Amino acid sequence: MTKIAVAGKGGSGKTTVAGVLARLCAESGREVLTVDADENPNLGISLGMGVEATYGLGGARETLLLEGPAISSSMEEVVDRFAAEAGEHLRIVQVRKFDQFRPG
Amino acid sequence: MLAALEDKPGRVVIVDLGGGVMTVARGDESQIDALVVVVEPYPRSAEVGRRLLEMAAAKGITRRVIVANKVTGPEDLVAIREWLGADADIVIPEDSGVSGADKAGASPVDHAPASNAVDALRQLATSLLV
Repeated sequence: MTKIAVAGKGGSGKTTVAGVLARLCAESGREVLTVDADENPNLGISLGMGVEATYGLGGARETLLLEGPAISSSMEEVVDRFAAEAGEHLRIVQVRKFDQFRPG
Repeated sequence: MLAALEDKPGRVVIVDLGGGVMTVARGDESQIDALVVVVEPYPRSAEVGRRLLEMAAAKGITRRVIVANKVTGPEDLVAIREWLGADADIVIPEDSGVSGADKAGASPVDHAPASNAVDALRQLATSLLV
C-alpha cells in the first residue's frame, strides 16, 4: 500500500494536484482511496465528481462524534461506511463538513 | 487513520491535507510514504513549502516531492530553487486548461486531458507508483 499526502499553502493548487494524481493512479488500474482532510473540502471536484455530488458528501468526523464514543468498527468498516465512489477504482472519504456553526 | 487501514497490496491512499503547515506539524510521520509539497513561484507560497519540507525532514519523511505549480517561465524555477534550496521535482506550467476546469467545476483530467498540467502530473503518478 502506498500512502501519499499532499500539502502546501492554501490556494497553491494542492487539491488539484491531489485530485488529478488520484485519477491518474486509478486509471492505471490501482485501487485508490482519497481522503479529503481539508477544512474546506472540495477534492471531489478535482476527482471529477462534479460540484453537486462533491458538496453533497458528508463529513465522517462530525457523524462519528455525534454518534458518541461507542465505536467498535474497524477503520476499513468506517471507510466503507463513509466512502463515496468517485470513479472506477476510486473512492473518496471526506473527513470534515461544517454544517452547523456554533460559537466556541 | 492511515495506520489503521488494511495494508492491501497495490492500494494507493492519497490525502489532501489542509492548507498550511499545521497538518504536517501535528501528523504522524510514520503513516505516509511520500509527502508532495505544492508551491507557487512567489515568496509566501514558497515559505510555507520550505517549512513543510523542513518539518517533513525532521520527522523522518524520506520521500519529499516538490511540485512547482503555475510556473510561467524559467525565472520562476530559479526563484523556487533559491527559496527552497532545492529544485522542483515536477513542474506544472500556468495552464488555461486547469483554470478552465476550475471555472467549470470539473477535473482537469476530464476538461483538459491533453494539457501540460495533466502531463506533468502523469509523470508524478508514474514516479510515485514505482
